[in-house]
Amino acid sequence: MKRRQFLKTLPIAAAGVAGFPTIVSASALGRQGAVAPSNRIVMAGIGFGMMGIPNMEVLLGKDEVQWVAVCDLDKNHLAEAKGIVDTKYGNTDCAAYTDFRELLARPDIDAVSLAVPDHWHAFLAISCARAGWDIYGEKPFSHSLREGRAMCDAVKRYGRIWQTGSWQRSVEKFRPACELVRNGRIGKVRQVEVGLPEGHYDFARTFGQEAITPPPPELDYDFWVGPAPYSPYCKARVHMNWRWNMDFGGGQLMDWIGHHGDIAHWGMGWDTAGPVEVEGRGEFPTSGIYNSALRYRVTAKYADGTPMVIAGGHPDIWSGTKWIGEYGWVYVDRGRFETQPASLVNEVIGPNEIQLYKSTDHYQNFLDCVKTRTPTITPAEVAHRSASVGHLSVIAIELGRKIRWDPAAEAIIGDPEAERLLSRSYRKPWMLPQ
Amino acid sequence: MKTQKRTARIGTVAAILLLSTVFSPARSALSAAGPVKALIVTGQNYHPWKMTSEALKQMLEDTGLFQVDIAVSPPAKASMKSFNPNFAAYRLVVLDYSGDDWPSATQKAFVSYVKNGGGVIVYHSANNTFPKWPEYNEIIGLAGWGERTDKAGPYVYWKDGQVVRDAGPGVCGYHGPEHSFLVVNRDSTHPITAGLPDRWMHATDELYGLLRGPAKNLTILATAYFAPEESGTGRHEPVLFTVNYGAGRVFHTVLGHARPESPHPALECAGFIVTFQRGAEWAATGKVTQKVPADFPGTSRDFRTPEDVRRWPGYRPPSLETILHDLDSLEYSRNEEVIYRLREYVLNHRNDAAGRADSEERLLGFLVMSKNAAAKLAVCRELRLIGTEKSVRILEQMLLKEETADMARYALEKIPGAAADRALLGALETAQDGGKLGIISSLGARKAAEAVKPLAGLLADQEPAVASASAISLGKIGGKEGTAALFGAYDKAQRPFKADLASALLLCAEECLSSRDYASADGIFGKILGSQPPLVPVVLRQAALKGKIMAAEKDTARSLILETLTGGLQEMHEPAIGLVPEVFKESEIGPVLALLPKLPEAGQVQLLAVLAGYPKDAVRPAVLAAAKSASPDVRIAAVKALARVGDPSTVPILAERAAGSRGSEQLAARTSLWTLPGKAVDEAILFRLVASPDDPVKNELIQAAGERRIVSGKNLLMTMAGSGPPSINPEAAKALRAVAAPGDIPELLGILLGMTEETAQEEMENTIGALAQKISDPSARGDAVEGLLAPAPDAKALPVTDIPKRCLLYRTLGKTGDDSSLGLLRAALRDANAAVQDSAIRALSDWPNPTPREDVLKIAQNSKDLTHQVLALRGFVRMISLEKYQSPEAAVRSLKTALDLTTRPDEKKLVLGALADFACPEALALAESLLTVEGVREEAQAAVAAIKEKLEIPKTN
Repeated sequence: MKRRQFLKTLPIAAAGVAGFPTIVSASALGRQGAVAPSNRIVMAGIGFGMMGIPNMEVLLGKDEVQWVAVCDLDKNHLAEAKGIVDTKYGNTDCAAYTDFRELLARPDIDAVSLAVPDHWHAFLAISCARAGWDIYGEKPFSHSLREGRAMCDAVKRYGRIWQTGSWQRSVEKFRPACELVRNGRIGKVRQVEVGLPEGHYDFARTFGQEAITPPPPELDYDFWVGPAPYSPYCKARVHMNWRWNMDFGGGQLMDWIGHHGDIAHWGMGWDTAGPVEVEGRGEFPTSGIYNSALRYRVTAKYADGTPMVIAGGHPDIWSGTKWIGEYGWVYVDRGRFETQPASLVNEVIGPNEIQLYKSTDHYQNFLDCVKTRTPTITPAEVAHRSASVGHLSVIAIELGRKIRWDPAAEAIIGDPEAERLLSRSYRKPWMLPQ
Repeated sequence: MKTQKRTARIGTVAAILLLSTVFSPARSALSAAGPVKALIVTGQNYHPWKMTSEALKQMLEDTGLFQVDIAVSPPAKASMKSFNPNFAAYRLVVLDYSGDDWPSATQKAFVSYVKNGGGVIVYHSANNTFPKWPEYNEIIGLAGWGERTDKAGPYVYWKDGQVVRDAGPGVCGYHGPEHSFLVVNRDSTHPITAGLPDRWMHATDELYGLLRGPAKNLTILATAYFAPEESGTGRHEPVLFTVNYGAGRVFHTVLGHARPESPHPALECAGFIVTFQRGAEWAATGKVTQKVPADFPGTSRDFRTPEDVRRWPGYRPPSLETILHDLDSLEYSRNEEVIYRLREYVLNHRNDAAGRADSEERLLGFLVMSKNAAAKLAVCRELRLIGTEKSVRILEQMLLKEETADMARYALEKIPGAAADRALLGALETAQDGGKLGIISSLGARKAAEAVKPLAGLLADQEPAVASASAISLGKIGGKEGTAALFGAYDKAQRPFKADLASALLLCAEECLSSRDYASADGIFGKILGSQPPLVPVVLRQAALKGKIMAAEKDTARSLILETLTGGLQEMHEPAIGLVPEVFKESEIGPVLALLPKLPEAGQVQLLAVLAGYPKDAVRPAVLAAAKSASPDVRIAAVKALARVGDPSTVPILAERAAGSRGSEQLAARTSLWTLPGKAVDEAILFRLVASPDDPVKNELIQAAGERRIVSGKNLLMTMAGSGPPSINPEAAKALRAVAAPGDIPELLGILLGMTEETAQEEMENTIGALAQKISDPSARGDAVEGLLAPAPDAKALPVTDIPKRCLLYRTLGKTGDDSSLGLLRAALRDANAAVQDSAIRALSDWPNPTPREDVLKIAQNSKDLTHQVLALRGFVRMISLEKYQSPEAAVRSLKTALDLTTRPDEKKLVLGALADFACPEALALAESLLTVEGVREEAQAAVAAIKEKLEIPKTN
């Protein structure tokens, strides 16, 4: 599987890769000489089917990182990942594990990069936190809202640094856009719009390969299914396209809510808030193994009455994040930053106004925070809130009715069925650790 | 996926159209005279014509009025000779064709068909084709694309209550992204639109705009406003209209865009179907006998949810029997549609107790009867949602069987009440291996208090996984009993089980903390903290220390932290420092500050970040001291902290550090200087700016003045830009962008004309350009500059005559980008002076919008100077990408023009880069033509790959 070449040609992911901060080596940043081995952050990675490789490649390029181990239950992914580390260091020292439980027993790891399918997020995040590792974890933060809460609690309990792959906060114009909104340049915000992709994207070029076959020898499929309900193996179900089935992922909505929805929250100062009412609809495929929404539109109302519209496949909601206020609007997407009035784009937010967390390199921000033990730009609680509005949207669409939510208590109000959808049962022998 | 989608597509359209028969008039109305013969002409269209022609056929037939044939042309580029439908045999011809020219005999036959009274429907993209066939263009009235220019005829649109015919220049045909829009009925007397509402909401569709054409004998029936927010034209564009041609009647609908893949909201929209059906009858017969359906979409619906428009009457959801019957043949990855129908049924019947109970009962019956595991899993997912204690008995039986145990738990885990707990506990005794773990997991997730005793027993289980799982679940259940059970096993436990017990106990202790039972919490945390390090890992002891500090009285907590930081293990510093703000008030922080320099480097870095949250005066001296540390990491942490605890007196230190360091330290110093709050800091910066003797420091302060938008520093910055030392002119000119206003432009122009250094001039030009953008009237943005180059006759001023100065002004015009200044630049192109010409060429090539596209093309074509050719060519390519109203094909033609002018690989690469944005077969061909060209092969390959990729993805707009 040539994931990297593939990612380079892929429009959405390519936009992401192109949007990544330029990688500046630590020495260019003025650190004289190499980082002493004793000061290095010893890292491992779990999951190399999609974002694991690009994430590792950036972190591997940082002087303060020493990569010692890789883990994947697909032996091909594992070999590719080990190859990259070994090539970088010119040796064969990188340890390779197919079972993360063996990796977890290692006492020498400081930090880990997690890029596994959604249904494994909580299990691995909590296990790694409990092992005392700091975590760079991919979005969406969690696979269910209650798992997200457990992850936040574990990160806090074990005193871990958490960075989410919501890297938009660290690049381009996202911060300036949010600062305009936060500083009232468009007056009171009347509506927030979050435009996400629609449909299903064939990342792995396996669409249609739904015939049930024995899994390939390199993949431990039962392990891969892990805590999710069991479905037989077919090629279209696994690598990179698992996201389109709600047992393993959350569709476009959950994939992207941690980007544009996260930015929407940032601009509104809703990092620790949540909606009070959520209502929405979606259109679903009528056959095949994928069952996440193709088109969808959700309105999430927040405590001050401001609605946030989250939509995929509704062209009146522009891709990206748009805040519409009393005096104009601010719109930001990868490579796009527009305002009404247009001159707002060049506004400078002065030091006597609200300044947001400034990071220009998402990975460096993680490493810096590992050293200073301060919160990253997208810590667990913030990521949890961005994901929460996504989970509530999925539930509202699934139930086809308005649900009410108490964001402080994180509880559904007056809807026992919606409440039941906040968590998922684990397939044996797995259970959510603590 | 592709095959499924195809099925779904046909399925959807067919289903919707079947429903549309609800709207049919009495079929008997015309049956006496026999059906009207209609012909759909298709076979070439960049839309999915096989699907659309079938759908249109069905719509026509659904009226009960038509008998429909479909004429399919030969494929594109094949010989069209054989294509000669017998139009005369029909009373209605529906044009769903956009492609190669018809043979002239066929053209003649069509024209004579219409002239002699034949009816025609022009559907959506049929108005894109045959640009060079005058009669066709008269028949269809308005058209777009297909290399049409303003020679096609006037624009026709609706403005202020009447039809506007605008023969002005401009492109022909445009559409933006698909969106839902309001259709306005402009003629309620016409048979087609009589009886339709004044306005109705149309489902997501591609709205055409900027159509032009002969527009003879044209009657507009309905328009839609193409809103600028939808990247539209801001005009009320015609969407339904008629043309009379000879004795023929033509109904033209621009609506009904079909995507390559389903869904097809526009085709499924009631507004489209009904107007199409009515238009067909009118074109064929001159009257409309069809009734307007009672629930034709109106405006009372929520505009924001266009799906409402597509909700058809007459939908009868299937019964649960039918659903369960279908479900029984469910296969993984096959007919999973039935799962949605099941969910829909269950949700629709949840609100009445009887219906809900009935659903539950029948679902349970299915679980007993069915042998299909996939189907049973689907049913268990529904019981997860609505299951009650009534489900417990049957789920309990499933719990005992290996193959159904997990699915039973998915439902059982969510069913409230003691019965479900008891079922799980019952199964716990008999379950084996993994099954046992599953049940333990569910008991923990349910926080089942009754499970404490059995789980406590399992802590001693032979199987380590069972013991560990029991510990985890006991931690989740918590409470006094849960804690006691965990404690009971703790002392004797060995590695790694002891760590499991410790984390479970941490959960119990956290529960005590939140219920303010501090004594119990302290007891548990103390126990874990006191454990032997190898048995309980550092991270758990750190967590315990944190808990112990949180559970303690403030005095005790403070001593705990100080003791840890002075005598404790270094690995325990981290949690202790993290809790400093929780327990040390501002007045109590002294002892911590005293410890700062004595801590190891990592501890200092962490503590400095914590101290930044304290009131400035309490901690600043300590932070300033740390800013002088020998350790770079500590210095950087201190400088960062100064952003919050600094004050005006910190300004010189930060400015000097910014000027004197590099990399992270410089970045930290600058960031702190730019973000340190307070008006007094602003004043200190301006004061130091005057007082500092050092130019690098001055530049840092100037930059900070801009970044901080210190408006009161404007005059000072102007002085420094104009008359300060040359090394600070550019930075000052740049900083003025943030602090000056459009009203300052004349003064800034004065400064610009006095500048001699090129870097400073460039910064000032950019500043003037940026400020001009803030002028709301775009045609006033260049006024100040124009006033110096060519004062109005009534103005008393004289023009600037000095050639170098005029050149500066021309260049500045390129930055202000005011289209009304273009005349001056065009005149300058003809100036005798080469320097003036050069400036004008540069300004035009840099122009921020595509207005002077033709000007730069001419320069690129005609200039003798290679530099000018290249500059203009680059400008031209850039402007093609900026052009808003153009089809990809038109853009590619322009890019081809550009490519033909290139002489060097660099510009070829530029064209290739732009090509990828206009994916279409022409773009692909052009990119492929460069695959063999030396020097640009790689770029051509990348462009080909990118275009192919885009063409392959189902486009939705």
